[in-house]
Amino acid sequence: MDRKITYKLVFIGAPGSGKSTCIGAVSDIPVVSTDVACTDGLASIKETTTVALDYGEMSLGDGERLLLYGLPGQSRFTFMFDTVAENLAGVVMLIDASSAAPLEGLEETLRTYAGRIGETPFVAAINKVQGNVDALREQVAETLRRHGLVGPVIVVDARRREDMALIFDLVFLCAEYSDV
Amino acid sequence: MSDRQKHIPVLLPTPDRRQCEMALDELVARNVDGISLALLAYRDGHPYLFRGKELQNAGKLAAMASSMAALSGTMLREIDSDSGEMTLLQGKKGKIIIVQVPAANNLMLLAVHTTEEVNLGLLLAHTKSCVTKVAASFGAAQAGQP
Ligand SMILES: Nc1nc2c(ncn2[C@@H]2O[C@H](COP(=O)(O)OP(=O)(O)OP(=O)(O)O)[C@@H](O)[C@H]2O)c(=O)[nH]1
Ligand SMILES: [Mg+2]
Repeated sequence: MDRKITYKLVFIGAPGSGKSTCIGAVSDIPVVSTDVACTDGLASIKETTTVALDYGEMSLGDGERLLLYGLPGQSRFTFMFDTVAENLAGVVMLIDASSAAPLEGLEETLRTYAGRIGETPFVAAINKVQGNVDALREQVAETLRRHGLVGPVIVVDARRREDMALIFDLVFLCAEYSDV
Repeated sequence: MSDRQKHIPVLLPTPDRRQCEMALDELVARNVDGISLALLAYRDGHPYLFRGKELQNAGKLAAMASSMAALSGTMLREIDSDSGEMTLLQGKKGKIIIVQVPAANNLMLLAVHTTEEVNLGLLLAHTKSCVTKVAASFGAAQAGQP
């Protein structure tokens, strides 16, 4: 088998923020999914939740491929991060603007992955937006600064390929211009 | 949904806790030397009940059991549109077996750990018998597949 260049991206974020949806939207191959039916309050938002990981791939042309990993959102599954952590090109953090407390979800995710994501290029993507989110965007940026994280904060629709393409461009830009 | 919140099953059938405790006790305490731990967990990784060896973090083990079971199922489906029923991990110092409880749409999983001296057939037989008791505790009306 040829060994072409691959880049690994991992999606993190609160349960229901849209990690699996993102990967489903852009993957060129059928997504490897490990969702099971929810047994807790999350069931009021959606039927299934990821308990191991999502895996998808996207061709970048020239034989280069992006490998996409979606992790579970709940902190009890933090160990799954270690199974994908090697040679990460970037981390995409999704923030669910439609949730009752988007910043709490963000804080919890940051606590969960504290010490794991600081060294990797990082993009925060606010998802499921309705109306103006300038204030939320500023609060997200402020929260990230407080946790010592630097990275762009953008607004996306996780179901759109174009938005995912923007996320990937930003991750690679960050990688190019970061001095870490 | 924070992990710090207590797990409250929503509109889901529940097993009889007492009967589950008895089934796990029998497996770990009385029946077989070398079975060090039995853990009953929800399919999405919430712990329900465990017996045996002191666990620092039953929650983490429950989550790991659900991840492993889901990955096994995903791999079986990939090859033969089969579904996962049992996952077996063989280490140098022991084995872990993770089995679906065939009740209430596979709501729960049982994970059992043994030390190396326990033979696989014995482990399977005892695990199966425990799972059958747990499944029966959901009540005949709710029992799922055989
Ligand atoms: N309106 C809107 N809905 C979205 C968007 N992205 C995702 N969704 C919906 O939100 C839900 C997100 O679910 P998942 O993709 O399973 O979320 P997840 O982050 O993988 O969740 P866990 O695996 O449970 O942690 C789905 O019902 C999607 O259809 C978006 O940009 N806009
Ligand atoms: Mg998911």
